[in-house]
Amino acid sequence: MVARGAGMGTARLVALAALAAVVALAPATARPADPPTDRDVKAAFLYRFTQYVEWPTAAFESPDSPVVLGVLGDAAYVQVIAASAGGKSAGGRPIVVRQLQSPSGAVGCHVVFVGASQAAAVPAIVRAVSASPVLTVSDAAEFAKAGGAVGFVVRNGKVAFQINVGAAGRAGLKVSSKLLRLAEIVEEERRA
Amino acid sequence: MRHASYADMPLRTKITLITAVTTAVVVIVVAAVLLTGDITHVRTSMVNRVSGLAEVVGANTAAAVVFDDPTAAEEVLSTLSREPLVAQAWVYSGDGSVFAEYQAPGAEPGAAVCPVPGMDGATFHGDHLHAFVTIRQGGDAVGTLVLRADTSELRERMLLAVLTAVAAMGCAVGLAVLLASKLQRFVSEPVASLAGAAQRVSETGDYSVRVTKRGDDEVGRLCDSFNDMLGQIERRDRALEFLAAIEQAGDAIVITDPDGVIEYVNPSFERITGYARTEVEGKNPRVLKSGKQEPAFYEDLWKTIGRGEVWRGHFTNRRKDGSLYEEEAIISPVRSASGAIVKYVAAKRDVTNERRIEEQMRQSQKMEAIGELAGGIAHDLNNVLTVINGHAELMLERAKGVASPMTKSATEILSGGRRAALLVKQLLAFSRRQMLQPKVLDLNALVAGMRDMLQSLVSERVEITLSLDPEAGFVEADPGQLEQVLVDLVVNARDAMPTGGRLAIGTENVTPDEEFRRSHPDRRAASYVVLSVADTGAGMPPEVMGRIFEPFFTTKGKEKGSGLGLAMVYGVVKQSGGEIDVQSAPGRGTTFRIHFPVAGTRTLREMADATAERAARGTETVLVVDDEAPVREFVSTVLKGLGYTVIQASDGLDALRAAGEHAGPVHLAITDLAMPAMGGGRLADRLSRLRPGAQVLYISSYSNGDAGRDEMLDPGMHVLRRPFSAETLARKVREVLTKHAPGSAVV
Repeated sequence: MVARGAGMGTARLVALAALAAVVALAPATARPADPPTDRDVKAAFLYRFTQYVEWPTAAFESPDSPVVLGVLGDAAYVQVIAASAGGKSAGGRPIVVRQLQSPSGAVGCHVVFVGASQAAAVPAIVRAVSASPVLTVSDAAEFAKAGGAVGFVVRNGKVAFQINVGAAGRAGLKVSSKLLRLAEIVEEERRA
Repeated sequence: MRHASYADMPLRTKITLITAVTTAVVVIVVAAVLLTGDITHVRTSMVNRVSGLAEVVGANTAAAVVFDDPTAAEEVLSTLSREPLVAQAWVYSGDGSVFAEYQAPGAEPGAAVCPVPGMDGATFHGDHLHAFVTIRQGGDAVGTLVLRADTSELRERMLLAVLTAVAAMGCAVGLAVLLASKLQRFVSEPVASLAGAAQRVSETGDYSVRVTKRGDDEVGRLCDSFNDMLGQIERRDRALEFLAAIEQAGDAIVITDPDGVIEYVNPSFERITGYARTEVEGKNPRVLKSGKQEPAFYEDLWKTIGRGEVWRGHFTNRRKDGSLYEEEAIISPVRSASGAIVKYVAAKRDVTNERRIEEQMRQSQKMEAIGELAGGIAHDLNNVLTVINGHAELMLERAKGVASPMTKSATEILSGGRRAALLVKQLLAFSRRQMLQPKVLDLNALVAGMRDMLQSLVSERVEITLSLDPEAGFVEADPGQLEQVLVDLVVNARDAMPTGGRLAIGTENVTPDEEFRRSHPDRRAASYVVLSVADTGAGMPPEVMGRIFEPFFTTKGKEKGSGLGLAMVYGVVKQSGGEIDVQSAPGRGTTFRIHFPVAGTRTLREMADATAERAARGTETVLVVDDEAPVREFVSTVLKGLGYTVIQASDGLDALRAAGEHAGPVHLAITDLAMPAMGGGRLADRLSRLRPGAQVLYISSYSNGDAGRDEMLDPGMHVLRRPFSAETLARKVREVLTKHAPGSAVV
């Protein structure tokens, strides 16, 4: 047991040395000088949503067909999103970011992001993809309640999101419970 | 009981100890192995459990991390409360800052544990287990989950295991000791019994002890070897005892090889012959040859034993110092198993002493016979001489001094007759038939008183020295005869020293030694006074020594001696109850030693004199009857001196007459047994009718040794044996009278 203790002592020394190395290296690791903007966060989230959503097989032409992320919004936003998700993959499929010129372009995409600036196009988009396996995301206000799948909101100054489970279900998408747990679950508000 | 070291412990303690130590070691090893295995297993399972937990929690917090929702992460972490192992948990975001943390309720909060990049897995840090899991999202590392698990459960478990092991060890050792103490006897008892037997053997020297074998194991074989060794020792011991028996035998034992070369002699041989063992071993027994045996004697010996027969015989051999000794020997051949003679063994006994004593006995018997013969002749011759001399005197008386050829012849007859009478008297002395008048006397005084007279007998060239023991006891003897004895011995010594020499006369008290008792078996006195006469003269050879007391034996030639001097000495000494011995060798002088029984020691004697005299006195009337006037006179004088009234009578008839004439009572008659006309017996018979109540005391002329020849001696009769002293007479008379006095209580 004594010999064992000595071994543990050695292990402890190694751990301490490793810790010291970490502490020494810490300043060198890349750390954004400026806090990320909401747009950056949303772009990152957009990519991450693809990790927690499962599309029906029929949504893709072939097993290696890409996940198409359509963006309906200003060019700068598209650029940020392309930087965040472009070249990455989801479920083994490459993610392709595409700028949509009109709501009709949403068909054939797997994820459609509608920028707040395009809030007017929301109903059309929702309608256009209502029966398609398309995850609709928008930072337009009350998007989820309006029939979109995922809507960004700001809570306590932080970006959060709402998920309309019904909308996602209708689209034939399986949203991971892990994502649902992080989201505010909302339902469509039926307009009279 | 304390033991200085393990080596001194009894076997059973050792066995118990070995068992206990072995058991303890085995239990420790087994416990260590099991414990190590158990701990390794527990640690591994703990690591697996915590790692697994970390994996799960890490996966579950991934979404919270990527969507930057610490609350959600903490919610996930809070599920860890179900797992009591986990004390703390941290979720680090990709930039290394703490994203969420968890603290188990009641757990000791510790410093945050920083993750090490790329180091997934679990490591033990002191009392804790740290598990690191990289939180991944779609292949990207988005953060790290660190779990800090409390290992107190592990420690408790380890402690419990150690305690269990210790308890098990204690039980096992206890059980082992208990079992060993019960079972050790299967091993230790045979060894202990062997050790006990060995100790018994060494203490008592009893090699007949055997140990009982209990099995055919090593101890059993040791028992066999031990018993076998004991057997060998026993046999060897017995052989040594045989050797000791031979070594200590009183007989000389000689062992020779078939050629007669001495291989062994025992200590008795050394003692008898004077030769040391080393001097005779390897030699022939002929070193002992004296030349007294003819060569034919030895030829016969060798022929006999050479045939394988036992030879018995007598040797006269020579000691190393040259002296001769007599030896009886039995020589036996010793045969080997094949029948060949391999040795001769001789058992020899020194019989020199026995031979000498036999010779002495023979000598004394011879002297006895000669005495008888001489005495008988002398007695008869005395009667004849009495007639011859009497008539010769008568003739001379009748001639009334007128000289004539007849008176001359008568004078010659008388002269010759008187010489013959003297010879006869000496012969009677030799044959112990002369009348002695013994009294208790002081030898020292007698010898001292004769000194001048003795010196005048010898020439000036003979120096007489007296060595008289002042403590020498009194003897009872006839003083006149004793003087004659001394004169004869001195004359004999003088004649042995014609050119002068020394003559030593001595007295001493002696206690009879073995040799004296053997050569004089009928002398039983407890102590003796020895009168010795030693000269430095020519000495004599044994053959002369054997005959010197015989009458008419002389070496001096006819003219110098009658040959009756020493014969008379012999007779007087014997008649006085003594013994005379002579020691002599040619050139070594001659010593005569006369043993007289002690009649009284000096001081006791003087005291006894007075007492005895008082006690022996009396006033009774005693009739003294003896045909020998000197005896009658002696007895009468003594008794009158003591106060008795004495009537004398010369024979039986005279006695009866005197007793009849005496007016008063007659209390006692002292009478010679053998008297002419009427013997003592018939006188007593007649007297008892004349004077009833008168006691009779007989005087017997024969010595004790001749008691069987006394006529009519009944056990109840009172007998006084000649020679007797005045004191003996007085005591005896008083004894008889007192015993039969009317007033005494005799039934």
